Amino acid sequence: MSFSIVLQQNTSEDNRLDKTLTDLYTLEGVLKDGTSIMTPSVLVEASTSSLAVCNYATISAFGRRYFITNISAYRGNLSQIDMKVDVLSSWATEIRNCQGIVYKQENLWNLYLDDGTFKCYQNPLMGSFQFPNGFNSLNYILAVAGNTGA
Amino acid sequence: MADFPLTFVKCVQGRVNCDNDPPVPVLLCYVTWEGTITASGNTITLPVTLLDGLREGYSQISTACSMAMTTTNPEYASWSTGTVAAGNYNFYKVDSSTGRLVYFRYDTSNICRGYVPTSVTGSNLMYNPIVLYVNDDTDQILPVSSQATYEALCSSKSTDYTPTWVNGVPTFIAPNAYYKSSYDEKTISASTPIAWDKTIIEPVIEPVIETDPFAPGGTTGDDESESEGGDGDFENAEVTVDPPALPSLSAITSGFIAAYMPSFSQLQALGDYLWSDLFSLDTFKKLFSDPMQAILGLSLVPVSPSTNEGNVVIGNVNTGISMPRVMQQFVTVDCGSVTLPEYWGGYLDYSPYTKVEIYLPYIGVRPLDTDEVMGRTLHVVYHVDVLSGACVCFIQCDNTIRYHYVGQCGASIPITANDWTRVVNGAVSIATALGVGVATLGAGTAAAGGVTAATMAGAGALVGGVASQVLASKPRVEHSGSLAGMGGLLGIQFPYIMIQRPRQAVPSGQNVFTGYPSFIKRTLSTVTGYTQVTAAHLTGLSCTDEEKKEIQAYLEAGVIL
Repeated sequence: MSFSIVLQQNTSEDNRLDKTLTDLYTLEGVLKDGTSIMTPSVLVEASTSSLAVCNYATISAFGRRYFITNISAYRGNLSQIDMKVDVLSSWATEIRNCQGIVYKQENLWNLYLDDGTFKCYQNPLMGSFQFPNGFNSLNYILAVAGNTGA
Repeated sequence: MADFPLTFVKCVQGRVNCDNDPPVPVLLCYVTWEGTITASGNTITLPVTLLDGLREGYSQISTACSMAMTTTNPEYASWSTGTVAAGNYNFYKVDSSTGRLVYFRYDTSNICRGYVPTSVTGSNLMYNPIVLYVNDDTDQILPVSSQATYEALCSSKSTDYTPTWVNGVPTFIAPNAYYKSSYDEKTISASTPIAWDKTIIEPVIEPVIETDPFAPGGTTGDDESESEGGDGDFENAEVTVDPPALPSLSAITSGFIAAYMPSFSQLQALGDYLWSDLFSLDTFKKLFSDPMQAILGLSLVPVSPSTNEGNVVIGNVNTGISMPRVMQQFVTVDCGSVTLPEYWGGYLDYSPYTKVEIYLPYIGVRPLDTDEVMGRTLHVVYHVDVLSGACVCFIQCDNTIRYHYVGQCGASIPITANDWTRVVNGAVSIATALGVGVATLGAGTAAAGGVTAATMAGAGALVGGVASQVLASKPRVEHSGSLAGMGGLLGIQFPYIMIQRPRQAVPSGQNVFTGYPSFIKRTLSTVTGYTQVTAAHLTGLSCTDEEKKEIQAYLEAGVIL
């Protein structure tokens, strides 16, 4: 089976859907032994030192992208590259078409929901508001028995 | 006969009013068609097969004709060998999943216009809506269109008509003329979808039935196995409750007592009179053996009732001392309004995180329910009885009075030895009344005789604690006792609100790293940035099951879109 693997450098977070990738090497060959499409392990003829800067790979034949989890050096200028599928990047378009209940979001929020996200200091803010009017007079009131006789 | 290759997507009952004949019930069937409608220049052409079908039974149809719609006659599709202006036309589309009419686009003129020429040559007119006449006996739907041969369905007339459109449905057709065709009646075969499905005779614009019981208007189900709840009326009505009117009856108007509002010098003059030889016991009424019995009380009140000038009369003895006589026993004091704004614009502005208290003159400090007053306008009004000194304070939140407090704003001035004792004892009891110096823990735990330090497991964890933890660890302290009588006179004379808000600890750009609370349903392509998703419906993915679970876990833990 003709096999092409693009070795790349990923500088993005693991949990980002769209990775920032830099292509470093493209290796062509034939897949001699069986390997998992989710955790493929391939033996390539390349120096380990040159592969050391690679942390990401794309295998078009598998339709997936991978984190490089390990690179092992073998005799005869052979290196074994162990990979694990990056599900987010591999299925980014399909994931974006899905629906769900978003309960934490960077740009779309409802701050009236209390989910314990926010922390508070022990010294609260003290405020006050004064009403515009009050009792502004003072008078004697003398109550007497009988009518006014008027 | 060939079938009509049309799909009747909407049938509306209408009437054709005629001059001298009774109205004829008709079906107005709006049609759509399969196939691509092409536009070339100013002509819109329907698929040929459609034209073939429609042509059958009609004469004088040019092979080069097209079913065109004009901008001036938006509902009017005509065969015409001429060109028509390009523009917006009206189309209907049936949603394939719901079978409902989901799209209806009007021309800007929104007028359905049709006319019948006195003679028809070279063209045939087929209206959209196509007016059909239903023969229930034969179950035939018969098209009514203008033709050169006129058979009276109603009188001939060429009049523009304008239907009344309600929610996209014409509800009434003004007088118009339709001619019954002279050609063979066209039978709509059974294969024509919904051509005579009378269930859609009623307007098909139906409300969407919510399956979510918490959506307004949601259903609860009749079966015991159905979900319960969600059947609130979702009507948040609030009535206006204003402070009541002052009582119309008073002790002053009873005639048994009178009240005066003397100045300091007038009061001194009265005192001099009572202790002078000018006051003759012989002229004193027999009801009193002691002139002081006629003086019911002297007090200080912080209000100014309306008065009339006159001499003070004690026990029907005119003292000759000029003194304003109080004409109203009850007085209103409007302290005005204050709007309590949110500070954070979020849940921290509300209970239990933000605390609100109000100081009320002659009453003291009282707690307010933060949820009731936050974001609302508070209006404080006192009703005062100048005779007893009693007062009632109303606190109105927007339109409704939500708080009533009773206080004492009159301070008695002792004029006898008994009075002195009573006043002093009263002042002492007020000072030791319930509510002074009692502290309770914020979480509702009462502590007698003072403040008890909060004891919580893992107190170190409270460093940077969440708002609820901070609240629970703080004691609640009363801010005043009762401020009645002379105590109230010595106190602050205007109301004010005290508010305690949490001080939030928010790292710069926290939303980028952790997101902020959301809880909305979204298609993930409509959001960007840090996102945590629960209950995602992962459809359309051809990944393995293990990958799908990993995607679900990522979404719940947080991804960056």
